[in-house]
Amino acid sequence: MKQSIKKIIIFLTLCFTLLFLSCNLEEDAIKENNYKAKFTIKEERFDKLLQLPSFNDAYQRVVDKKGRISSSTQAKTALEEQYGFTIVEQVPVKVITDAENGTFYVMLIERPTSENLKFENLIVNIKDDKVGAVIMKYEMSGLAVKEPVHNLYSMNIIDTQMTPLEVDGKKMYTATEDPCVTTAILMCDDTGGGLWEHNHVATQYCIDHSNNLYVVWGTVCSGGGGGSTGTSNTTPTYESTPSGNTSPNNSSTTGGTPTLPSSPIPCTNCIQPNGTLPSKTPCEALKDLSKPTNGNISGTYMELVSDSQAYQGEQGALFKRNNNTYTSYMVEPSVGGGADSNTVILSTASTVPGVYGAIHSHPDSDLQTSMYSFNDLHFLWKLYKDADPMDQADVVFMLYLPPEPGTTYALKIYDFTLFQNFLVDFINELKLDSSLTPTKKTELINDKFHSKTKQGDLKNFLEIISGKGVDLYRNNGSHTNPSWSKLSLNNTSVINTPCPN
Amino acid sequence: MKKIHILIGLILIASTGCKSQTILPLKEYYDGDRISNTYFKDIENSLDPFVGTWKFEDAASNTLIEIKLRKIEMYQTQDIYFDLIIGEYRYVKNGIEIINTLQNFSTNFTSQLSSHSISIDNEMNFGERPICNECDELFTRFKGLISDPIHNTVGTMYICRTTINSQPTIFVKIIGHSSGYVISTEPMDITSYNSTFDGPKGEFTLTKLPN
Repeated sequence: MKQSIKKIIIFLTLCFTLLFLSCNLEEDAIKENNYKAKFTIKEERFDKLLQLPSFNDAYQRVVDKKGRISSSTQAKTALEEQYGFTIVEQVPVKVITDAENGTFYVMLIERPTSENLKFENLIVNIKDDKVGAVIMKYEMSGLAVKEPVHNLYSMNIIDTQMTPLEVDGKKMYTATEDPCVTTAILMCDDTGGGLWEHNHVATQYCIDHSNNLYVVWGTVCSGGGGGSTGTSNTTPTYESTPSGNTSPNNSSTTGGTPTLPSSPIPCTNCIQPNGTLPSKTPCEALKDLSKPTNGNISGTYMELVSDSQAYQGEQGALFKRNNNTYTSYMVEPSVGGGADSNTVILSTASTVPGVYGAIHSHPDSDLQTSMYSFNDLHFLWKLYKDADPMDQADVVFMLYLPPEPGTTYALKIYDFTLFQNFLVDFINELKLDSSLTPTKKTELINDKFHSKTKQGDLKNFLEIISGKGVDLYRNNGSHTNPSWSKLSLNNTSVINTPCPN
Repeated sequence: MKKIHILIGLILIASTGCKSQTILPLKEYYDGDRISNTYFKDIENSLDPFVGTWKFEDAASNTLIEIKLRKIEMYQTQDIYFDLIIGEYRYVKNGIEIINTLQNFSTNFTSQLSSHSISIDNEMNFGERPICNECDELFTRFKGLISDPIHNTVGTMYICRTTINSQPTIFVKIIGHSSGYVISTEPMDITSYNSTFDGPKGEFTLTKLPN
């Protein structure tokens, strides 16, 4: 019996060792996701929040008003009477749920007179039955920049002031009674693959999609300047901690300085204005390419078709718009092989201002794929990213495949974020050796895409890009009188959906 | 007692089962998904016929190419494993030695894939372009990379085995990339480069040298 027990113990030890070793990789992933588990951020309308008993009760205690607040007007008036500011109702309230410190409601507030590059947020904290409220006044070095997607703001906060409000006759900074708080602004250093240039205040989108979350910590005490909170690449004054830590001193509401997580909401006047973006369907944009006023794209297209017959190498051309003047022109092959080189180097608006579109050919050679390569998709991404927002609806990357009459395709992005995530995911899923040189890595990525599309097979290509934010169109007309159709895959059949005339 | 043993064993094997390694044919390394803990194995030993020292010599143009190849099994990148061929080469053009990396052949670098000048792991489909009329259908054709370490550029290398005059022979086609695009991920970008690839370019038939 004793021997049997001994055997079982040895056996169990061996099995658990195996189990432990096999699970340590998972632990790393869990650490990376700590912020995801700790914070959630969502946006909610102020009048909707007032319908929530917990928020209504807390708000009532903040404004020291007896009886239930039934309307947002009533709520605003009460605040105005008491503190001289009102909540900007049309700007959604950010609701931050912090696993340790309760729920935080961040609201943009305004006063009769505004100060340049300064804005204020009211933050109400509810934890169990305790309520705290502070006004955070932020000063920025310049206007906040609203990024084109996901309501992200990039801003550089250079000073923070905190004023506690009285709740139940006591000045309560947070749901605890400490005189100072550790501010925690959840940030995201995911550049969205280059879409966002600065570190920015995290939104739920970042929490869901990024492992590059970090917190800018600071200590702010009542009335005093809170120092600067760096939220850009340039002047991060507060110490930031890598993803996985909960706070600089591991404090929570149960001990030490309480943490006040926030997500600043800038005032309307504090945001850099941008124009109204034109809306245009992909079919309309493709049709516009043939307009004589659009920089003679038809002429350039014909030149490219002609050069593609005359030379073996890739040919390319760019479409651009500067101050509403359209131009298009062939790009000279810049490499040793001249016009017979295999690659034509095309530019985007970051190097040639105004570029919004391009066309290139894949020669009818033994070495070329008859479809877009992964590099081509990546170039389209850059073309869109770098284009003036006013031109983004027009962004197009065309591909001509000789011999005559050949086939002309066009790629149009319908959801930039989806498309970008597809590119990022495709690369990450390759699990490439991180020590590879960029050129080797690029070749291997392209080789993998080439194999996945079965050497550029149309059906396989459509299957891979399906639902990834980009659509493929084909010109079923002539070079001079194009007729575009959207291509999609239905089981194993390619479906042609003609653009309306 | 024996039943208890078996029961405990089964429970633990089942709980660790999620971590067991999957073995797939090497071809799936490019054609399929790279699922965690998968070993893309050269099950049919298709890489083996390429192992050895191979030489091309053309007295008329005073050109010499010597390639040394060896097989690495279960090479790991992140949480996947695969078999591949790595190698080094010497290239003499017009009587002048342009590149010689043969001294690195036996070195076991921390990252074999990135440090060796030649890496071959992409099993091609039959009939895949570029068409190779010289290749023997008895052997699998592969695609790989060959580096020019001086200019930090790469070329694509298509390699197949054949037999000429009863001599083991490899047929190699190399496309040098002296310009193109480079993708970066941190931050995400695509940039162009214009450099030089001084490695061998073209089609060469190399015969095996005795060990």
